[in-house]
Amino acid sequence: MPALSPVSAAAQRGIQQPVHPPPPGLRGSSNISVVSHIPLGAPGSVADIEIEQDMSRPYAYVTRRATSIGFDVIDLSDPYHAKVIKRWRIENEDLHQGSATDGRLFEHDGRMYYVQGMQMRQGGPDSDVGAIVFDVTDLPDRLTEVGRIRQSEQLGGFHNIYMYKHSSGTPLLFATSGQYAKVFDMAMFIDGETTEMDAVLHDENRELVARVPIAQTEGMWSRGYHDFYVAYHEESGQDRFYGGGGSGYYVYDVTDLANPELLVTILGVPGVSWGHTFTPTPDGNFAIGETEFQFQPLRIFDLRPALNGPDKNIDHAIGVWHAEWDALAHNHEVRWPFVFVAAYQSGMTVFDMSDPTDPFTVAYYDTFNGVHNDRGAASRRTGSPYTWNVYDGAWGVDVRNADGLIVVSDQSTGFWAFRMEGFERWRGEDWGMPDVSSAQDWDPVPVR
Amino acid sequence: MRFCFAFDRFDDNRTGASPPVWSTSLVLLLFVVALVGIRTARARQNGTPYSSRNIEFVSHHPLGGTLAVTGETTGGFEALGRRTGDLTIEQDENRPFVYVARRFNPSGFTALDLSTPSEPDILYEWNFASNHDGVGATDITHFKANDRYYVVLGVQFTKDDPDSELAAIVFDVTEIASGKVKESARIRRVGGYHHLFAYRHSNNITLLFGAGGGTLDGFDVQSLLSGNTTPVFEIEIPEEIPNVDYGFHDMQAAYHVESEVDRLYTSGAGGYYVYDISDPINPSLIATVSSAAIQIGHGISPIPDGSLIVTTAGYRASPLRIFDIQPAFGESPVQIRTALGAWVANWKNQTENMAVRWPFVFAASMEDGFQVINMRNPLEPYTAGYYLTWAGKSSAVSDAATERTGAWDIDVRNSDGLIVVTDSNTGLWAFRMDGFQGWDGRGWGYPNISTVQNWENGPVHSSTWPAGEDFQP
Repeated sequence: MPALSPVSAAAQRGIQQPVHPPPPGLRGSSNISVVSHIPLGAPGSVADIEIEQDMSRPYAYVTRRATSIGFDVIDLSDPYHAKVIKRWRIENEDLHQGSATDGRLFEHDGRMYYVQGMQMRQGGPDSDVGAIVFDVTDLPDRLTEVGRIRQSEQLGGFHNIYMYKHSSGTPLLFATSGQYAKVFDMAMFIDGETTEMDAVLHDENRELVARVPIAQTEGMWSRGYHDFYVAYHEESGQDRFYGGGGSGYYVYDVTDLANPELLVTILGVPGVSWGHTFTPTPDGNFAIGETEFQFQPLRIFDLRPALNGPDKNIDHAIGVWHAEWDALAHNHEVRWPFVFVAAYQSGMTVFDMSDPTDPFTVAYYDTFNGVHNDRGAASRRTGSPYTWNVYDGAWGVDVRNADGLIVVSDQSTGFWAFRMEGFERWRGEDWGMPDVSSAQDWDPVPVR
Repeated sequence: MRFCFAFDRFDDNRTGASPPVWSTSLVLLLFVVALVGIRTARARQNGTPYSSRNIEFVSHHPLGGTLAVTGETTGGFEALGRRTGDLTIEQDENRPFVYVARRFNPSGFTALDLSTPSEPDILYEWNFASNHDGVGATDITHFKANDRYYVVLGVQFTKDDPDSELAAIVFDVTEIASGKVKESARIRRVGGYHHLFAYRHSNNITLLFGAGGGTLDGFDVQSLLSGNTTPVFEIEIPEEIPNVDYGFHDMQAAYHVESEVDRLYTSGAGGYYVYDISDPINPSLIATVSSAAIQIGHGISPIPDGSLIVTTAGYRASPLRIFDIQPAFGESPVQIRTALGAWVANWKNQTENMAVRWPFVFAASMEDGFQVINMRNPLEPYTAGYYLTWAGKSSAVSDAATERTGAWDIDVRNSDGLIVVTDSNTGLWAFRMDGFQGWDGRGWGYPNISTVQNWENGPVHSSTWPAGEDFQP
């Protein structure tokens, strides 16, 4: 790709990741150390990642897709010698068409569960399965399938899921399905049949306790959500849902699950015709939006004008960030003031958003380490010379708050664990923020 | 260089050069001194040269306005406002005139004499009365007809303005050197025109195109000059684009030598559209380019053989994209969605306008100033030269007051390679680039097709050298 002029090289604050290939030995910034790396399989077979937050349960879960449908469990008892201890694959793997997608964890009644999102096409079995729930309490010895969440009226499964401990105390699974984020009561799912009729009815919607709609507007890019995040908003006492999809981004108050209330839309932003991933800061004042199109930066939106003013729509970003201008970033985790990004071909990158209008890169590691925008590879894969090969590389990222361990799943190179200098744990109060992140407090009584 | 510009109010139809105002000159002298200081500071701050060594500064004429868009009155750049808009340069070196549209009150245009390129001189100014509401003069273009020279000024006032339906004014500037300018026609269209383009068609008529977010209108210039301001065609966006209340934005027409088709390349809601206008009364859509992140296409320019288009998206943090439109003309036409190549100077910024002179794209890239891109390999275009015409602070992503900062429009005189740039803050600039002493597409193995028109002979023979003529840039 074209070399940047001296103007651009100097334009961004912070550090600048070198273009590929990096100089020998310089795949990462000096403040990032590689803890471990495990290649997991064929290129393109790795998707999202989730790490348990309890240090006494040192397990990470990597979703496997395409050629391997399931997930791998990584044991991080010795982080410098991480190893795969379980490889779960769906039965009759050759018959299934589709992928495992996203994985999430939750705790209920003292046991730990892993939910694996699934998307199976109708050409094979299980196209009605949205997620498979596993009891992983007894790792490293065993994991046990507890059950499958099915939605036979909306085939195609769940592309993304999110586990949230609601302020009511209920562990909720939010899942993309049709024109909604469907909400399942996972306590009810685990507790199983409570009446004699349950066994008779086999009602697959028994645990479906809510549907978060997506504000419908004319000509939406898609009619549903792609991804979401749910977080407690300390100042208002609300449970807030942050969804990407449709024609942008949407914030709902889901405190009363039966009556989700639309708080904010982010529509009409130049360059944003669709929302992919949407993550707020711990205080809910700002949010980061991803669009999944090449050349599109991560955008930072100030939600306050819409939350506090009469106009409920935001139509512009206040800040933008790129690891690499001709690529794009994917999933991300906010640990204010840092945002840990799985930036596809740029690898794992970290930016500082303490000034949301001027975010800057503070660390990186090129997990992908391959040719960027490889048109030859794209042509071989798709049969079209008019496709960039930008959707490869770091897919997912997660952070263990207790010790700051960063784990990354790379579509081509597998599992990675990192440490960043000076980031030895994350607690919101250390930064003057609510202690709110994707890591949930699963204690029986919500602590707010 | 002469430091004079119009602080004074001018009424409609005012003619003659504006008088130099010594106090104004003093202010501007201080301004330029400040500019030099800022240049130095910025260069030191970023360790960035002010320009690449292959770009030769020829001249600079500040044309800032009296209206501060931000409302600030603290002086300096902010007080100068952002009134310098689009420009067009005449191609005949015997008519060394450049015309600059002036935005916001008092809106109008300024003609400068580049007889001595290093000493541009204001030759003529025309302004609306300063009680108008809106951007005012948007685009400016020129054409030649009946051995006379004309300038067309595009206009957009707000819907509450008395001239809200005024879209363009045609001026006869044949005798502008002697201060004589005559208004020839006024085009009235709801919403006005944001962009204009004049085109010498292969059937030897001259067409004028205009668009301002609604239909794209085409006028027969002969008819227009005889008083008929009804367009010969109006095109609507091919299909309604959800959530986008907008039509066409910009256009450029060019003859496609290989197929012997007159093409109209347009941008607007949904992306970019190419029309066959060989029959100018019945345009037909022949290609669509629709990229996911571009709700409204902004700028569009084809390369001389029409195989590629260079586009801008019109918002910050968007690159200049190059699309291969050939697949749209194959046996199984397809909608083009993916860019072949892309370029940015600074990914946080954007390019506003450009002029394609293969293999170069001369770009007015807002805060990144004047940039030259070499697109010989369209997969990997690269920066070939630059000059920072704006040295002030970078604007915030969401700062509406400053988001239109820096190099705004650009044009190239093909006969000698003179490059002229308008910067919305700092005025008119002229440059030369080492080794670029003129442009004729045939010298690069392409048809001699660019924004520059052959008003006498039309475009049909643009791929062959005239008998006995050698290319001498």
